[in-house]
Amino acid sequence: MSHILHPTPRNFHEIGEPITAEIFRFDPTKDSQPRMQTYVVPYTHRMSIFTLLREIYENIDPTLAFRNQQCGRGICGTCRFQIGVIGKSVKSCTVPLEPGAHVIIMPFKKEKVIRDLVIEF
Amino acid sequence: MNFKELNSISTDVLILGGGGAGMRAAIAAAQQGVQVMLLTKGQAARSGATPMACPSYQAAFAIEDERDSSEIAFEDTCFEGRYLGDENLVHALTHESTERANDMANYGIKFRKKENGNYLQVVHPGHSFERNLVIVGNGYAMSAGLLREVKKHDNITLAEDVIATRLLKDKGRISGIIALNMCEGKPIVVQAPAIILATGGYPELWRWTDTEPGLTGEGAVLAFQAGADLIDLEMMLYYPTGLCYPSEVEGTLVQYEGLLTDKYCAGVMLNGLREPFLPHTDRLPVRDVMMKLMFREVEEGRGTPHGGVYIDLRQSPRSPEEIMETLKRLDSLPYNQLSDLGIDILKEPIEVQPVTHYTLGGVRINEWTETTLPGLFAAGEVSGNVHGANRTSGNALAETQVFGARAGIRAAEYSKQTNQGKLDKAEINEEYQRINHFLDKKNHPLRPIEAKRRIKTVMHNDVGYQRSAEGLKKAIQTLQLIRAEEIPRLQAASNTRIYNYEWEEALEAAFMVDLGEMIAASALSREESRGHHWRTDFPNMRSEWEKHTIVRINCKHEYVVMDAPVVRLKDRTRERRVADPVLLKAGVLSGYEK
Ligand SMILES: Cc1cc2nc3c(=O)[nH]c(=O)nc-3n(C[C@H](O)[C@H](O)[C@H](O)COP(=O)(O)OP(=O)(O)OC[C@H]3O[C@@H](n4cnc5c(N)ncnc54)[C@H](O)[C@@H]3O)c2cc1C
Ligand code: FES
Repeated sequence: MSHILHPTPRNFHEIGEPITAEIFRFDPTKDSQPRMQTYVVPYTHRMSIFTLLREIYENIDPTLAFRNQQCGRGICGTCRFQIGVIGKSVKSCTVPLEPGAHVIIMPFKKEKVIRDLVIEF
Repeated sequence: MNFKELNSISTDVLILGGGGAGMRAAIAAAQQGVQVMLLTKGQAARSGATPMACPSYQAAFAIEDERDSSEIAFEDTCFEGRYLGDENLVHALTHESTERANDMANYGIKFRKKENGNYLQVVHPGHSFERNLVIVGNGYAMSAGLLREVKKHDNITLAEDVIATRLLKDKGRISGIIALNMCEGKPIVVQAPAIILATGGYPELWRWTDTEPGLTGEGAVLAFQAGADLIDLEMMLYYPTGLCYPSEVEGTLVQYEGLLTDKYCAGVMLNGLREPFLPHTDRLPVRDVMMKLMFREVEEGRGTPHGGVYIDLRQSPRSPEEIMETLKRLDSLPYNQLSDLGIDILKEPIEVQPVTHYTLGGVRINEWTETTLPGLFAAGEVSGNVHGANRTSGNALAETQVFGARAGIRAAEYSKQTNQGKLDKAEINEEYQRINHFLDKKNHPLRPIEAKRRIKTVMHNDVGYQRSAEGLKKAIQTLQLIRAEEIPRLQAASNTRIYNYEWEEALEAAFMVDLGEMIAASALSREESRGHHWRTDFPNMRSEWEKHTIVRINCKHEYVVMDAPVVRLKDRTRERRVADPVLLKAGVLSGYEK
């Protein structure tokens, strides 16, 4: 995968309404309890939930933690998160995001969180 | 044994890398009764290239066509490697891949079978006969199967999310490593008399790649710094067909072999003007030829809107049902993922371009995977002299099993005869400081990803699929500048120690810049074009360059580039195949006539 989406810092046009993402954050060495953080992400290219996370990490918030080493082909499940509050688990590299979408991203297993969305498998 | 409960860490055989080669090595070493630690940057079986691999495993079972044999596979591999692979290694690969496939089957990894119960074997470019097995569930199922087997051995300790950053030596032999434990957020030392490098390749140094982002090449640099030889670093294999659009699947590999071969999906490849451009041959070209033909279309202004060419399955004589059926049987692309993302490959052409895929060069080994440094072994993609200047489909997964097993056995034997070496406290302190300083506040901090972007841009522009002396010299200068001015400024935005990915990226960037320079220097020294090394100022393959480039550290801790002969089992002045005349005429194989 060409994960560094733009080799030079992005200077791209928005092609749709921005995406609003609420993401689970927790650093056991700093936070007494988990919190949710909201990001508004410009829609500059088509995105899956996984590439949305890359976009945030690359261009908005370098402190967001999730696993980057994975197959990217919808097979391995390393990119699995709970989406929405009701907790439907999906492989995030297979879920497209429409412009203007609102998405809630929670770790796959909250009890196994190492930091943010990174869990111990 | 649980890694986290260990106080002082030492083992007999330490394996770096949890892909196919590392896991196979762990199994083989454990069977010899020694203590084994499998230490990996990502998670075992979920990191590296192996879990993302397609299903192709090359093994001359000769079920589909009984004319095939290991000997023919050997000749195919030597020829398609442009006679640059060491023939002792090619021999081991082609003669043991069947036995290692049987091992995989014993571990519960399944190969696709035909109705009569035999293994299905498919023909890919460069195979004289149908030779690839099809792994059910792709590289991921293979990885999961190997991990299940690893976990059956009590004498293997798994250490995941740990990045090796330095090899330690005692009097000219291996004594251990320093690594960063990502989840605990602290550097550690592991002592071991025998270490197997199985850290995979370095396609991540380039802009367009189909591999996993962690493949940044520490393995090669660690070996170099410790004094082992590197070989043919300039040889980076471009896989012809990675998706170049849309961005959510950018870089995803689709197997042109399955999609375009008449016998399978029978799709067509078209340029941006929707014209066919591949020469008419009985067989699809292998990767080095394909990538040249495709890049030529793009360069000469006949590319698609996103800079690639099309694969169009609508023009196949097969019905959509037949195509789907073949796709399911051969797993030529991740059709579930693509359809979930709303990409219908039966209704619209896909845009593809060559992407960095497999690292042909790397650490120099002998047929027992020994490097030139006592106690250090290397197996899998990290090794550098197995395939030569090009690689045929299915030989990389086979390589992980053949050389992984050999490395495990040999390293275990070595560890039984060798005591633990001493560790140098001063060296350890110095490396701990280097690791930790990426969290320290800097005056003009730079994000690691910025340095990576810069390095990738240099490699893409000047050490890419086409190179020239002018560009390579410029690349070396720029990389030296990045090392001097940017690497010291790297700082992770957060100073948290727990799973701080920017910290990992800072370490990686520092290795990438060193490796990039050695790749450029190797490419500069090879004054010819061969396989995936394409020099615009030396467009011909030249017989005097049928030799390896070697990179070695000198007493001033600088690298020097040398050369070394290819190991031969046959007299190649007499026994040599000639290139397909149709491809010669297509104009991308200058110098291949002889
Ligand atoms: C998309 C794709 C499809 C492919 N399809 C095929 C195919 O169908 N057939 C085929 O034969 N080949 C295929 N290949 C090539 C093949 O998958 C690889 O060459 C092979 O899997 C490499 O295995 P490996 O064990 O050597 O390394 P990898 O599987 O890459 O594993 C490397 C391991 O080392 C770890 N590591 C890296 N750096 C460090 C460090 N500093 N410290 C500790 N650990 C580290 C990584 O986390 C990882 O666990 C494909 C490759 C790709 C990218
Ligand atoms: S990354 Fe493997 S399934 Fe998404």
